[in-house]
Formats: sequence, structure tokens, C-alpha cells
Amino acid sequence: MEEEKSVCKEKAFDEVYKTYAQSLRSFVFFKCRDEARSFDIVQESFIKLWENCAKVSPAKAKSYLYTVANNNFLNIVAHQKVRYKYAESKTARVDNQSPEYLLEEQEFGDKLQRALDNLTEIQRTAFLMSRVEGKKYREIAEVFNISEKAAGKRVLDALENLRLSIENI
Amino acid sequence: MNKEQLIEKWLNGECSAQEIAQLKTLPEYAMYEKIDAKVKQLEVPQHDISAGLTSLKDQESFRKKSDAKVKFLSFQTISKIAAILILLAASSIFLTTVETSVNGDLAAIEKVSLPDNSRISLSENASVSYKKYNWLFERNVELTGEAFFEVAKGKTFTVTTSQGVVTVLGTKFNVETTESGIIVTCYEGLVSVTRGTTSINVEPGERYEFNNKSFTKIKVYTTHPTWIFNESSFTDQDLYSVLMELENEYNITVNTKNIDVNLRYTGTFTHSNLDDALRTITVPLNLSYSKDTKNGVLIYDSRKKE
Repeated sequence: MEEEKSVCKEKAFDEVYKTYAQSLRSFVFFKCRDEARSFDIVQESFIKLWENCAKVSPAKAKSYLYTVANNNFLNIVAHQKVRYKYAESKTARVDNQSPEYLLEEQEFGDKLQRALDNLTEIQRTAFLMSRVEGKKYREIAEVFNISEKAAGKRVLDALENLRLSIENI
Repeated sequence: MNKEQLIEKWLNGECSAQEIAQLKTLPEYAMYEKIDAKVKQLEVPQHDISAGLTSLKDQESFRKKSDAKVKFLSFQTISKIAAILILLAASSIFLTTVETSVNGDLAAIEKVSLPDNSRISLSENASVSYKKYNWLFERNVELTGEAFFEVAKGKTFTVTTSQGVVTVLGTKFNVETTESGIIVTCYEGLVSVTRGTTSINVEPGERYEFNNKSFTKIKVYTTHPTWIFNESSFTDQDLYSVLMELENEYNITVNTKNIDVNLRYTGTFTHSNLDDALRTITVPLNLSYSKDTKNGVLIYDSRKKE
């Protein structure tokens, strides 16, 4: 690995981009749930990393990117009162299902969407990182800069809140 | 293990089959599993890595930074900086070793001011040299001939001559070197003289004459060497030495007739008038003198017949 190389070196920078762009994109998408905007935020974060490449070691690049992305997201929330545009969660494997089942599935999907809306942004992001991306508590803790235990609690609380929220809808 | 811990473990994918069986007994588990299954279907936008990178590289800030960086690291810049540093180092080494030399004129007193306001008065034909730009670090003067020193306070002041080294512990002293030895007179403070392996402290009002092997100590009563005032001074000196000095001073040839050149003489003679000088030497000793048209002077005893 070229761990020692500065991020200022174009090759090293490209390597960082290839390694973290996708997970950063998911992270931002879980937060703002806007496909186009999440792309922009990811790009802006990498530009910021490039501009400060001398100050950020390759080992610190990951947490730097997440911090910058989160700040960018919060700036948008503060200035524009984020308008959430929810992506449809697709019901995969629709083949060979009964109409009743499909309807029920559809209904449950809607309920889940609204339940997800009711979660705090932090809980939702942590939960989706765990479930959708299959990230371990350790990785989530790293991104949020909290303890592994706190990360587990966050995901657990999110799940419990979702359950209560769906059962009450 | 309580319920929360178990669910947390499950969410992190760390449950054993036994633990999952235990989970299945929980009433909430069915809903958990349903939520989990459903949420996993959420579609996450795929980040187009190559398109993303390409669009990044087109950004203004990205290109500017690349250019600036290359410029800074260029070999030219580094070599320029290196050249300046080498030049500075070389010039400082050169400056500290540069010697300043002052030569005394014939029949005139040359005054030399040193960088720290110490002063040297050069007797005729004397010369000193010192390192002007290294003066702060090392006060060292090389002397040939005779000179009077007034030393400002500071580090050890050293006068190096071919006949020995004089180190100053105080101020105001006179150093005279001759072919056979060194004469050091101290007027103020304390002077240390090293000649070979012996070293002697010369106190104020003392004059030490070092000859090849021995030294003699003489008392002096003046505060400055007399040559400073254009005079030569002698204390119980043989006439021969006095007349040699006179020859030197006036650039003349002195001959003697029917007199004892070992007569002892104590006194001074001026450097400004030859007749006055001759009178001050001859009259106390009851001698006479005559001058010829050239630079010859004859000193004789008029009472004696040839």
C-alpha cells in the first residue's frame, strides 16, 4: 500500500477517491436522500480534501471526508430547509407474487418510508449504514466519531423506533 | 444476555444459530426481520467513480493547485535557494578571515581604531594586522615593531609578535619588539607576557625587557610611552643604544670619537628638532657634537685630546 504518499500526489488522491467515494455517497444519500445533491456534496468534499491535501495525511483522509461531507450537508439544511425527495424503495423480485402480497408489500414499504422520515437524521443514517451497506458498528462509530457502543445503541434505537412507528401508523 | 444486547448483536451480524433461535422467541422479532428485509431493498445511487474523478479534475481549483505545486517543487527554485545559501555561507567565511593591515609611516605616528573602540598608536615602521569582521569573536592583533595599546573592556585581547604573545588582562600597555627581544611596559591594569614557556604578569608602572634568555624589570613613572609625545626616553641606558635610536629617529649617521659608548644615560630626546635632541644628549654628559653637510653627526669629547 502507498500509505505514506501525500494526498497531494494525484495518484494517491485518485486512490482515495476510488476507495471512499461510494461509501461517502451512500452516507450523504442516507442523510439527504437526494441523488443529485448527494453527488454534489461528495464532489465538494473531495475538492476540499484536495485543497487541504498538505494538512491531511492519507490515514486521516477518510474521517476528513466524512466530516466535510457532514458539514456540507448541514450547511444545506441550514440555508435551504432541505426538501426531501424520497427515492422509491423498489420491491425487488416482484415476479410470481400474488396481488395481495404485492399490495401488502407496497403498503409496508410506504409505512417504512414514513417511519424512516420520523427518525432523526443521525439515527437514520446510522441505521441505513448498518442495514443497507452492512457496515459494522466499528465503522459507523468511526464516521460519527463516537464509541462503538454508542454506535450500536444508535442502530438499535433506530430499529425500535421504526417498529413502534410502523405499528402505530 | 438481555434482549437489547441480543438485538444489537444481531444487527451487527454476530449472532450464533443458538442466539437467533433465542431471538425468534421474542414477539418483536418478526417485525424487526420484516423491517430489515425491506430496508435492505432500498436503492442506493451508484457513484460513478470515473465520471466523478473526471469532473473533479476539470474544476478550476483543482487545476490551479496542480500548477502551483509543480512550480514550487521545481528544481530551478530549489537550486536558486541553494545558490543563495551557499553564497551567504561563503561570504561570511571569507569576511571573518579577511585581514586588515596598517603600517606605520616613517617619522609619524599612525593611530588605529579597532571595531570595539580600542586604539592602537603605531610607532614608526611598526605594523599591525587584525581580522576586522571576526573582531567580536576574537581580539587578536599581530604586531611587528612598536605600538601603544588602549584596550576597551571585553574579551581577552591578544598581541601576537614574533618574539612572544602578550595577553591583556587590563588596559594601556606598550609593546616594543627588537631583534633580540621584547620590551613590555604596562601603564594601567595588568598585562601578561608569555615568551617560550615562561609567563609573567606586568603590573602598572613596570617595564620588562626580555632578552634571549633573561629579563630585567625597570620602574617607569610616566603614564604614556614617551614616543607618543614625539620623544625617546631612556632609563640608565648605555649611550650606544641611545645614539642608535637617534640615528633611527632622524635618519642620520652618528660617529663617535674618543668617548666611551658605555656611559649610562637617563633622559629623553625630542623627535622634532635634531639640534635640541643632540644637546639634550651631549650636554649632561659633557660632550660636544658637530654636523657635516650630509647626514653625518660626530660626537666627541672636546676636553680630550686625540
